[in-house]
Amino acid sequence: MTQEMTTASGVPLPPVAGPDHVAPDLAARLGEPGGFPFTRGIRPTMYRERPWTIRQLAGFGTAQDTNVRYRMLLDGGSTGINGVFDYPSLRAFDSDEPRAGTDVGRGGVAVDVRDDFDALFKAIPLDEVSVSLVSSQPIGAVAHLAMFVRSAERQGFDRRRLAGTSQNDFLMETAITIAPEALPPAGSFRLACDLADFALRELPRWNPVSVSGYNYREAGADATLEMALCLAHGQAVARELVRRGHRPEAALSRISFFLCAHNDFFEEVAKYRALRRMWARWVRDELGVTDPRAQLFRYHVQTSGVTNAARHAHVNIARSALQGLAAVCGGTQSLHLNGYDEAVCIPSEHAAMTALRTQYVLLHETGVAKVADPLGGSHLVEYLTDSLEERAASVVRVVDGLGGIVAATEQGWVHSELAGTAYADQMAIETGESLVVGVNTHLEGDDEEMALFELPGGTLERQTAQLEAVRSRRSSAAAAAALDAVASACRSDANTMPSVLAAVDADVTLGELGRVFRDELGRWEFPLW
Amino acid sequence: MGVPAVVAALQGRKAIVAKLGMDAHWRGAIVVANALRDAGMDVVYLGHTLAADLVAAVEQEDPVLVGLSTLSGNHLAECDQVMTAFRAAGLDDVVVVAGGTIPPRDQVELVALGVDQVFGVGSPLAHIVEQVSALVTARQHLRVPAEAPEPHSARSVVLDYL
Repeated sequence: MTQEMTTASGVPLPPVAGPDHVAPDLAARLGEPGGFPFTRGIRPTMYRERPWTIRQLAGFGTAQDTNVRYRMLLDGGSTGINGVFDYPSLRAFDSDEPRAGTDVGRGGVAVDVRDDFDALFKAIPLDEVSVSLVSSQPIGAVAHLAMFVRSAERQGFDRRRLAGTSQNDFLMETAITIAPEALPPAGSFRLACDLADFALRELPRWNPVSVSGYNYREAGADATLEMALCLAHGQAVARELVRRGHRPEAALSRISFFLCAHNDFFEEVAKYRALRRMWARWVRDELGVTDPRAQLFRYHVQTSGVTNAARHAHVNIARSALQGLAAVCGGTQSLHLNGYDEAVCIPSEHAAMTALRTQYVLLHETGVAKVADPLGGSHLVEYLTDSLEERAASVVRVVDGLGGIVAATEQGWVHSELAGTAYADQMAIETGESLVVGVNTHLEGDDEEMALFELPGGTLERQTAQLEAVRSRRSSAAAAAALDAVASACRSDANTMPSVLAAVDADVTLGELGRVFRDELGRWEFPLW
Repeated sequence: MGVPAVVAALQGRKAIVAKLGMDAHWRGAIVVANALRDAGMDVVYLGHTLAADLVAAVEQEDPVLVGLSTLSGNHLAECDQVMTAFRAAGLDDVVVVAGGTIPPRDQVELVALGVDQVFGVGSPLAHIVEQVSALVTARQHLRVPAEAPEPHSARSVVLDYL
C-alpha cells in the first residue's frame, strides 16, 4: 500500500518497520527493566514481582452509597480504592449551594464534611488498602485530604500508615475541567504544592500529586501533547518542592502520573516507554539525582472514555480490553478499565463488575504479564518510542519558552491547543478519515437495551440533611475563627494545610473552605473561547 | 457526512452555548460551538449559567438558538429549570437544543419539557448543523424583526454576565 499513513497522533508510519527505522545505540536508550533510563519498566521482573494494582473507579450518591460499592469491588478482587467525587465536591461547593443541587451525587460521591469521610471508608482497613482520592482540583483536594486524614485518625489509623494518592492537579482546575469561579493558575498551583509539601512532611506513604495526562487526553490532546503537558507539569511541581526546601530525591519519589490508554495500540505502548525514559533523563540531567528510586516515572492508567460509543455499547468491552492490553504491555503500575456503559451513564453494577473481571482476563489469561516489556526491540515500537520522545520534547520546549506550565495556562496556550486538537479529531470522524464502529461505520442492527445506572433515590435530601446536622451541632464561633485562620494562611507565604486540618476539626464545610480560597486567591475566567 | 460549511439559514445569526449545573466537561460544547461558527453563526459561549442568568442573556442578545450541554447526568432537572424560566419570560421564539451524555429514554423526556431537539453521544456535527438550521428556519415566523445589532466581540458580551 502506498497511501500515506500515520498513528493517531500523526507520527508517519512505514508500511513495514525494519532495522533502518531504529536509530543507532538502541541498547543505551533501553537499558534493562529496572535500570536507567527505565524504558523497559521500573522493576527488573515487572509483574512477576508485583501485578499492577486493580483500581476500579467508583463514586456516586452519598458516602454510604459509595462505601457499599467500594466494598463490592474489594470483595470482587479490586486491590485498591479509586474514589471519585461529584462536581460540587471536586470544586469545593457545598451540596446545598443553589448551583450544586442537580449534580449532587452524580458523576461521583457527594462529600461536605469530615463525617462524610467516616462513612465513605467505614470498615475499610486504611492501613492495608491504598486509596486514590480523585480530588482532581487543588481547591477541593486540600480539603478532601484534610478530612480524610482527620477521619482516619479518629478511627485509630496512624497518618504515617495511610497509603494513597491525591490527584491534585492545577491544570484540572484551570484548563481541563470547567467550573464556575475557578482559581487562577498560580493560586491553584500554590494550593497543590501546599498539599504536596504537607504530605512530604507528614504522610510518608502518600502520593500528593498525580499529574493527570489522562484528562488532558480526554479533553482533546493527542499522545504528544499528553506527554508534554505531563512532563512540563511534573517538572514544575518538582522544582517548586525543591524550592520549598525538600531534597530532590524526596520530592521526586512522591510525584506520580495518570495516563490515558487510547486506541492506537503501538503508539500507546511507545508513549509509556518514552515517558519513563524522558523523565529519568530529566531527573538525572537537570536535578542531578542519581538515586534510581527518584528517577522512576510511576503511573496509573485509565482506558479512554471518549473512544467509547453509545451505540452498540457492549463493543466498548472490547475497546477497554484492547486499551488495557496496551497499558499492561507498556508497564503500568495500576489500571482502571471503563465500564461499557460510560458513554451513556456512570457504570451500573454489571458494567463495573465486567470491567473488573476483564482485568483478570488480562492478568491470568493473556500471558502478557509474564515477561517485562514484551514489545521491547520491536522495530515499530522502538521507532515510535523515539519519534514520540522527539515530538514531546519539542512541545516541552514550547511550554518552557512561554515561561513554564503555569504561565502557558495563564496565557491560554493550553486551552487553545486542546480545543484545536479536539475539533480536528471530530473533523476526522466527520470526514470518515477516522472510522469508529457504531459512530460512523457498522451502524446497522438494532441498538441494545441496557440497564442504566440509577442514582439512589433521595440523594440530595439525605446529603443536605447530614450537612445541616453537622452545621447545627458545631460551635459557629470556632468554625468562623478556623476559617479566619485559613484566610490568614492564604495571605501569607505559609502552607495552608495546617489551618485546613484545624478547620476540619471545627466541622467547617468544604464549601466554606472553597469560598475562603476563592476570596483570597481569586476567581478566574479561563480563556476557552 | 461531511465537514460543516457555511449554511445560509444560519449565517450571521446568533447562538448562545451554555453549560448546565456544575458539569465539568467542555470538549463537546466547544467542538459544537466551533461547528456552529464554521456554519456562519455568531456564537456566544457563556460557560456555566444558572437559568435566570440564561434568561437575561437571551433577552439581551436575542439569539435564534440556545445550545445546552451537559455530561454529568443532571440534564432532566437542569433543562426543566431552564425551560420553566424561558416560558415564564415568554421566550418562545428561540430554538433550544441540548447535547451530551443523555440516554435515549431521557431524550424523550427532555422534548416533553420543551427542548426542541436532543443530540446524544455520537451525533455528527453535520447532523447537528442541519437540524438546527431546519429548526431555526421553522421558528422564523415567531421572531420580531430586529434592528441590525452592533458588532462586538463575543468575549465582551460574555463578561457582562459573569
